[in-house]
Amino acid sequence: MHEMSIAQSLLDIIRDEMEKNQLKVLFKVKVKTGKLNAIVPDALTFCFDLLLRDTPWEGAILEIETVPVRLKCVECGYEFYPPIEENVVSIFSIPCPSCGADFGHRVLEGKELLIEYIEGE
Amino acid sequence: MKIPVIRRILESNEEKAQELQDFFEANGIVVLNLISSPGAGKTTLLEKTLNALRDEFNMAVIEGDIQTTADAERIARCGVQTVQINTEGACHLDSYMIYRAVEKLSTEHLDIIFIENVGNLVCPAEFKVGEDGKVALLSVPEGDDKPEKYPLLFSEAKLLLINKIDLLPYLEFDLEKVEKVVRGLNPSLEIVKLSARTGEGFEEWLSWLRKRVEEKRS
Repeated sequence: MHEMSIAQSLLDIIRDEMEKNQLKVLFKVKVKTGKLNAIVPDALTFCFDLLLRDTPWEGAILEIETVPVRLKCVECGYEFYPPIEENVVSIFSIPCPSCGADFGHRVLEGKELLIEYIEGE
Repeated sequence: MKIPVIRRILESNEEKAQELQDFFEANGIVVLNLISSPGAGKTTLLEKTLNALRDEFNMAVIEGDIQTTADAERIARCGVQTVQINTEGACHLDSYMIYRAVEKLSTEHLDIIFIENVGNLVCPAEFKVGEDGKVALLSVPEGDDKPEKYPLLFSEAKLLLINKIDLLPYLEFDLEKVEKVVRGLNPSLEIVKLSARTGEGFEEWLSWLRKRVEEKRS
């Protein structure tokens, strides 16, 4: 359950940005989380809603975009998406579609944990 | 009104971690963040390590547990400074907790701080705590598929300790496979195979630690 800490940190940033931009009402927050962070979107939404309960921002929507893993083959430089699986199991040990090298791929995307925008007035 | 933000969600944890790292650097302290599943042998490894190096280095341990002070008591018996953090449910330590723990330590003349993270292969890997490196501990009974299942930790660790190798004859654990997978995840990862119980391979781990202290001092 690292989702609660993440939701708390998220809320700190929202508070800061709302103040900076002089917003009073919060409609929506958009975040991007990489597949490798093993964040469960439902759990994050649950924690977010819980933290907003009985605050003026209760009901704001949290949109979570999960960024798939994109790899770069360490041998030939080919960039590719490993096949989508339920878990992150074995994405690192799949062969490069271009040259067949099966280990040592560099992670280009899939580790991010970002807030992208907030909507309010 | 839509306000583009683009900020790292864990930025405040990372900033605090950087502050800690600067402090450790300025004071020449090697800080290792020890991460594993529950029961992999973190506390036993630390007990043996502290006893072996007690005359060489000044060491301290920050113990992270969800509940109880049992581990901290075991460590304190080794005669080193110990601070217990009870996370009260949280599955990992973050840099704010470490900051408060470090305030309780007398850091003058310290050579090494071991941070024994909460037993968990997922969340602790996500939170930097100002360490020089993460030491991942994987024990033979857990099975050889763990690096594939929990790649984040193994892709970020500086050292992998494979513990309980005295049990290899009794279990199906493919050492070669583990080494191949983790090197794939993390080509610069160093690996030491040992048994904290029998002492096999332990000297290699101690030399690794000595090297870290030497590097810090130079």
